Amino acid sequence: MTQEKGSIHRIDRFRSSLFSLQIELPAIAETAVPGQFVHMKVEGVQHAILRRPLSIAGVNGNIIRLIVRIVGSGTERLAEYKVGQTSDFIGPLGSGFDIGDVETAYLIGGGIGDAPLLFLQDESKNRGIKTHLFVGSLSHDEFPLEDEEVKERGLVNCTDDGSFGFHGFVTAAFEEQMKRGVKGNTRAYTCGPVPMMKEAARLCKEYGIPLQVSLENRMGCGVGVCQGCATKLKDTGERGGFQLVCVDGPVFNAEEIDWSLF
Amino acid sequence: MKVDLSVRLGSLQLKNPVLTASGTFGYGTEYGELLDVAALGGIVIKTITPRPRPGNPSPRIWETSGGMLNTIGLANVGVDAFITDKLPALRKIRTAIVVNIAGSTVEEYWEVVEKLDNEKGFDAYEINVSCPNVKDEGMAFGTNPKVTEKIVRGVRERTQRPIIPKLTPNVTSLSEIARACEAAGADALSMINTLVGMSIDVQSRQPRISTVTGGYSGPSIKPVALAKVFEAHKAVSIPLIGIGGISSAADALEFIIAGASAVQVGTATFIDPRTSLYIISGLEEYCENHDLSRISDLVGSIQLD
Repeated sequence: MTQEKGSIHRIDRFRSSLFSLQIELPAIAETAVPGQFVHMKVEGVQHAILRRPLSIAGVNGNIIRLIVRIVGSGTERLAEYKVGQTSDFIGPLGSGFDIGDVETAYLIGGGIGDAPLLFLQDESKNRGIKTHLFVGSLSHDEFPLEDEEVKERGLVNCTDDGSFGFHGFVTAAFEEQMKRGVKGNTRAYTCGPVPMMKEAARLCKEYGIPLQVSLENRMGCGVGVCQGCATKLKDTGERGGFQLVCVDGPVFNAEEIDWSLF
Repeated sequence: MKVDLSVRLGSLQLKNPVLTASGTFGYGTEYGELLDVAALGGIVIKTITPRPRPGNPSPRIWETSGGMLNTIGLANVGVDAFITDKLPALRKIRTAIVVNIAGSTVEEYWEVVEKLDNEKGFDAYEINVSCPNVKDEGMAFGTNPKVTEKIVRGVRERTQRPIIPKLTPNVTSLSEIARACEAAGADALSMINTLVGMSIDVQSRQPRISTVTGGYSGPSIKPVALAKVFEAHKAVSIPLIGIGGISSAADALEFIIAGASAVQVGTATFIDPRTSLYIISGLEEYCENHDLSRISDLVGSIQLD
């Protein structure tokens, strides 16, 4: 964990409410692993004080990539950042995905939940793991990746309204893949809206694939101090089942989660 | 000119007047990778209760205009695990360690002190009287001068260490509570704890945090906190620790000039973990620029004419 000023290297607005940021953060980039996040201070947001936790979507040398959807005042201000502008970051934070020694990895993302999975796909490929990445959104206009990158990555793009790629939920596309057969040593990973992750968990259980889930919650400190992001998982007798998304997670094994609590 | 930043709170000697507030600096070690914690004037540890507390359901926090609401619910490991798992690391930190304590009955406060007091590795107690009293329909202990006095007196009887009640602002007369603490043998007073606040999602009409109301903190509460410190400074003669929205050296100076001998930084640490260190150097710079050889000369120096 380190705190450093990062300079915006590139900012690409795409679709109506999405953008990707590339930020020069050498110290954070050096140790970041897929699944981790940065806690960013967004300057110039009137009355907003807290940092914003953002999943790391990729690392290229000194550069960290983030994918952001405009949802409130903080992200709106962030979308107006200019190349060369600096901001304060703490990171890399949280636990990463456990990639392990497997033959095939299934990655299931919804909306900007695709961000940590993109980094995970890069890292898995580097390790010679065959990846199947499924990303879903409501429509083409909300798809959390530019068309060109969708092609480059060879991912299965899904939209609820059928306007871009597979017509239906991302979990339906994943299920079709499962029905074609699962061979060898595999793992699955998911990040996105709770109903989607819940369905992914059901399918992974049915097909016997170990699943890791990346959760989110509102955060204060990002380092385990304020306990604001405590989320109730299965009650193991310790801390009443509360786990801190910032330091105990954001990645958890699906077996740790009681979906009825969400 | 070398500025003397040290301050004395009863028998508690601090190298400088800037501490981190309870609940915003964990058990003292979490921020260790980001700053030199030994440079702080002191660390106030998260509230410790007799038994572990899991805390309140999610959502526990909500950002407001210039502040935040929290309902953590005093989640902590309990005094036994604190002694075995957390104190050893605190013994290695070369600054003042203040342990914040609480209970759900008067006796539970005393129980924490009885278990802790023979241990080495901390320098003082801060008494959190802002939590709900289960025997008094959940009213905070700190809203009742008699109950507050009883808690503080009982703690006084059980320790030689400095004791510092942390007062709630959610009362009609803070002066009355402050005087009750002084009479019961408190060495200093921390003020203020969070204000009671709430926020509603107008789409769902649901409260933003799980317990509907929670503790309101951050830069926006600073004027309220400052007025309370100013009030207490006139009411009691024991030293005060100012808390509430302090984010800069200028903020800390306002509290010191109003009558605080020291300050605590809380929510601002989440925004920038190094805030306290910037405040310490800012205080030094201010003293140099104003030909003050000791920060303590500034305490209560407000000019009213």
